[in-house]
Amino acid sequence: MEENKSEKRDMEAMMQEWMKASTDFWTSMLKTGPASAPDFVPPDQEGKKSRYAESMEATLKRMQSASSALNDPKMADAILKGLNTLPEFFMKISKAGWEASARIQEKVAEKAGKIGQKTDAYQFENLDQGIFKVWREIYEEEFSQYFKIPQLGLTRCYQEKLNHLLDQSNILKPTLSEFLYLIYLPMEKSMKVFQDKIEDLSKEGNAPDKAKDYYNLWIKILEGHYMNLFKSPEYLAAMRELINQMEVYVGAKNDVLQDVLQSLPIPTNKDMDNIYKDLYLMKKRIKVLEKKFTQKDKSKAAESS
Amino acid sequence: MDQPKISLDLILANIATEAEKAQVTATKASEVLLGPLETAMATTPYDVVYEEDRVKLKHYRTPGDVTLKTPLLVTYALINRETMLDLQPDRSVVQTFLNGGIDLYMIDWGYPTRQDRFVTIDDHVNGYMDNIVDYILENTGARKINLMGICMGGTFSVIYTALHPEKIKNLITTVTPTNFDTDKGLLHIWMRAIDTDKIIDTFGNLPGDVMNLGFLMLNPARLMIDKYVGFFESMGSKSFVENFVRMEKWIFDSPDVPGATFRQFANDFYKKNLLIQNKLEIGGRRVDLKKITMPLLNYYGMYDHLVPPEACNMLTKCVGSTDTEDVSLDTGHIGIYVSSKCQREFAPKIIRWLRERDGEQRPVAVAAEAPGDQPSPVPRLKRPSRPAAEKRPARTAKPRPERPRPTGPRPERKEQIISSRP
Repeated sequence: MEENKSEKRDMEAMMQEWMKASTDFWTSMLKTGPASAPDFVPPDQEGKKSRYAESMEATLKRMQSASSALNDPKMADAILKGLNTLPEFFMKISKAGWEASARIQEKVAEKAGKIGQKTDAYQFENLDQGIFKVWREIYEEEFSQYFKIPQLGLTRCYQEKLNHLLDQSNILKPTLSEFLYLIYLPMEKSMKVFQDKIEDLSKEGNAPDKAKDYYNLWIKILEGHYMNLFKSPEYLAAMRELINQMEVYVGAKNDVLQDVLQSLPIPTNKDMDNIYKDLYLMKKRIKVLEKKFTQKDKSKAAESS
Repeated sequence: MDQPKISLDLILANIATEAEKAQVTATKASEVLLGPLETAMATTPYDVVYEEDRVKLKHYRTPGDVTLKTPLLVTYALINRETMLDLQPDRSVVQTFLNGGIDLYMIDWGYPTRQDRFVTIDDHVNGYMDNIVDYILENTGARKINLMGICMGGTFSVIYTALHPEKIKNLITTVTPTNFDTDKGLLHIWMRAIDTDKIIDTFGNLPGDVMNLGFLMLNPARLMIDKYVGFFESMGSKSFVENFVRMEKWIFDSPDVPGATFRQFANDFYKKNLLIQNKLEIGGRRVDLKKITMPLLNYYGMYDHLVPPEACNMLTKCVGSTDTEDVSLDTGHIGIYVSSKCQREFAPKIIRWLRERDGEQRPVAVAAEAPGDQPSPVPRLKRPSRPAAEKRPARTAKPRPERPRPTGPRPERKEQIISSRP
């Protein structure tokens, strides 16, 4: 405790020393500057100070007054406190990141151990896809919020769209991984069933002796697994989620591209869609009118004949 | 514990033999792949006789005389391209129809761009299709046409026929979804699970590549692994490679689907199943299937994983016609049009069916025998010659070059025989 107090006193003394030196420095700079010399004559306008000299003088005075202000013990104390909180600030940020990382590792280890436990042959219900959900949850809780910090100023809209794109890109990746994992599962399961089947056939003495027969057996098993997978609610949910995330990602990407294109002499999709819609409606109306006229002409011709 | 008995020595011996064979195949394959390959599609000559926006009407040149009085209009789906019906000379529904004496027209929907994102089903059916039918009626002198629809094009044909029954003599639907309330096809399950509105809001149109990826995902084991294993096994055969490449070209030649059309198709058909319940409204008019009173022939594939039989076979029970027939073929969605077996069953049966119902319409009879695999010898008709002024109506038509060509910058297309069975 005593040690801490002594350290603090040392810091304060050092700070005061530094501030005094700083004030002295700026005061002497102000005195030695060309503009302050009594015989100084600006090269362009006689009898008037140049803009440069005026600006320099003003700057030095600001620095001098700032240093003087810092000499005030209360101000110095406030600065010191601010400086003291900096490590705490960085520590909190690193702690949040570290904790998230540790949670990820913990959950990954936990879920990785479970992968494969519930994947029975030809069964795709109640699969343990927790690892992907955990990653998504952690991402959304710990990281996604940084991309959602409200943006300010002139470029806020552009920055917001870019952040949205980055956020969506990060969400899409685990969704895609989950989908690919599901697609891969039948491969894994079919190999297991294939091995069991071969074992059974061998025991019966009916093991095929041609490589092609083995291949045919495996491809049939694989096909069966895929058929079961594709009908499972888990696959449908993963597919739906992938398509949804893909759509949001493509939409976010298009928004950013739209902004880029707007600065170039290239029409955007939005511009073209408006034109296409007008064109479509006009063509439709013209075709209807054209048909009506043709019918009228025909009935006139029929009447006259 | 007993160790399983696997004859490892036998397996290794077989692998050694296979490796030798693979070496021979690889040598042959390099010759085939580096040599000239004939992979052109849709080579049957045709004229584009009508154009409206991106949509074209193909009129095929009959090698002999026209023997059926009523012209046939084929409406393909907006998904993939109509070139599938003319994949190669020996696997061409188009050529079989022409050899059967049919005056054949086919709609080419073209490649929708962002400009087409607002085009609706109403625009396709009551706009493009109706204008095309009017054009054919006007230029052939026929009072009615025969209409054949494929997949989504079949659904459009059903809607068109219900709304304009006075213009249709016979209706043929092939692999046509009309009942969407089924869980038999994965496509039906997936379409109900996804938010199609959001997709269209994001992309404008439904991108063809996204659709193709979806189709591949319906059966990745077969379509993304087994198919190419099959290719590597047989790539020493030139004809196999040529057929395979043609099919690959067709499969991955996927135009985008106009946004507004896809949105309506997903919501009103897949999610609400309005068509079969007579609740669908197109262009402000209710589509009443009971108004389909003309003969109806309904084809579907028993192993179709895209449009399962359950999605097709209710139509004949819901229409107003008494002359209806369901034909279920032992194949998948595309096999109906391209498999060798179906080539012998599918198109010839349609020709016979149409001939039996081909009343007196265009009395320009000429005696001659039908060429090729025509089902029955009948009096043949000359294609009615049009007055010169009528040949190219001012509103649309453009002169045609002599040679057929894949129009637009994109190549021809379509699908793998291997893909049919789920």
